[in-house]
Amino acid sequence: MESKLLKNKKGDFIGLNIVLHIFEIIFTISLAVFLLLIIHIEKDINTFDLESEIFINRILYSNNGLWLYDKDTGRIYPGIIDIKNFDINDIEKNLEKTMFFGKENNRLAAEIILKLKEKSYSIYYNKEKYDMWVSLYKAGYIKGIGARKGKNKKMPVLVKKGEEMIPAILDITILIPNR
Amino acid sequence: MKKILIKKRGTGDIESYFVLLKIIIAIGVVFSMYAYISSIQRDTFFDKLYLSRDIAFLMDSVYSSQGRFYIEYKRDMLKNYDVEFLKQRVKIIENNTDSKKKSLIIYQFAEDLNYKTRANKISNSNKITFQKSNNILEISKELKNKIKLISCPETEINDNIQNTKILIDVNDDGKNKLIPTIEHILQSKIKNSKTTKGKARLEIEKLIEESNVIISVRLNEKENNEVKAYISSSPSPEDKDILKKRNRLACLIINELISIDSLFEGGNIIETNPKYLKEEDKTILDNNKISIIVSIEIQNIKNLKDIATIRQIGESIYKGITTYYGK
Repeated sequence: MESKLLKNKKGDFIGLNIVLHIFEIIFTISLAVFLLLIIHIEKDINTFDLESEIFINRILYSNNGLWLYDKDTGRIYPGIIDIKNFDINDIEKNLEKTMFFGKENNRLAAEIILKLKEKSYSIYYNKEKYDMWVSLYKAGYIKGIGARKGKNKKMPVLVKKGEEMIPAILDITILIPNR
Repeated sequence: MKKILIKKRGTGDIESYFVLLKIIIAIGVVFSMYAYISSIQRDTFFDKLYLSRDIAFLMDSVYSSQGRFYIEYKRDMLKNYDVEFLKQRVKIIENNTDSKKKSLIIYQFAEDLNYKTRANKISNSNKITFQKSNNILEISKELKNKIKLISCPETEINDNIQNTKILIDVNDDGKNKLIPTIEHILQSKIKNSKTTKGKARLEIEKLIEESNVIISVRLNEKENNEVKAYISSSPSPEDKDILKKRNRLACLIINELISIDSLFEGGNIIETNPKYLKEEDKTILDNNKISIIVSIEIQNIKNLKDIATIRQIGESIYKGITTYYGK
């Protein structure tokens, strides 16, 4: 019975060949599906855009000495800079204190430029690393391990000079190492 | 070997060896595919990577947010991991493997050193709580009333409760018949007080003019159980002290109300420009008196049937007023 099903007159395995071909088709399809699946499994998360936006917001909304601060209510006014209390050294120290990554900061560096009509002021966060990283960023080296990604944001601000409010531009560039 | 390949009668045997070989290879490939798929299924790398970054970014946002707040971060997958906050780092550690094989992922956040950060290790929980109050950030610590309380501004109160004309205005909208109890409690406890109940508009306006302090209690049906106090943000320029006094009275009343066990989720004071208010509220707030509107927002006013709770609300408001006058 078995030999009749599996062998022809010459003794070849015809039935088994058919079964094997069906099996091969199923196998090939599953292999193709499997390969398609593993191609599309993404194990890397690119969070640069979100991360850079969060860090810019930390500069904009923290009480770091950059913004006008009402001591009575404990409220800061983001977007308004009080030129009377504008001290670059103080702001830089406060930035380090309000965004503290540990003694060695390899996570973030930033340059903040306040552009007034007559003068510009530059404030740095993690200046040492900024000077090291900025050349890589400007050279367009933004892919792969060791590269530095950057984001630039310009926004209009008001500078309070006595009772007068002077329009100015705040130019923030932040640099984050690629991970 | 040569004989086997050339021999005509042996071709069937050779084919069957190939078939056997193909089957063995196919079984091998299927098993390795299965092993890979199941390793992806068990693989927690992506979860840990996601959680570490998400929580680190949340920490960054929490530090830059102003004011006092309480937030809950909920994720079902958190139950499979332990979360630790240590030296500007979030650690996500697998909690369902034996200690030798525990793998972890770390991500850095920027700590604000102006805040004292106190964090507990989070295990077997699907949520992390963040409470920011004054200069303290507490992570997954037990919610204490002290944290919920608002810090009230200090100001000198020279008046006496006996000499002060206090007007009580309870607006119940008739949705809950027990609400007037609040009015009864306040009126019986504060001897020099009057109420707006049953009075005509002109009479109410006269009472407002005669009173030094106006306390208006509103009950609103809202999704959350909260207490809000509305005060006018525009005191006369020559008397800024009155804004502080309004703030203090509102703050003391709110703190008493939110201290009632499990009734309110929180409270806040809203400084508002009276010109944007409803006509009846405008008359209460638009003056140079110490006037506040205490708005009690309850999920379902009709469900507030417990007389003891209503009594507690009335007594808490009274306690706030007496604390304000230093008694």
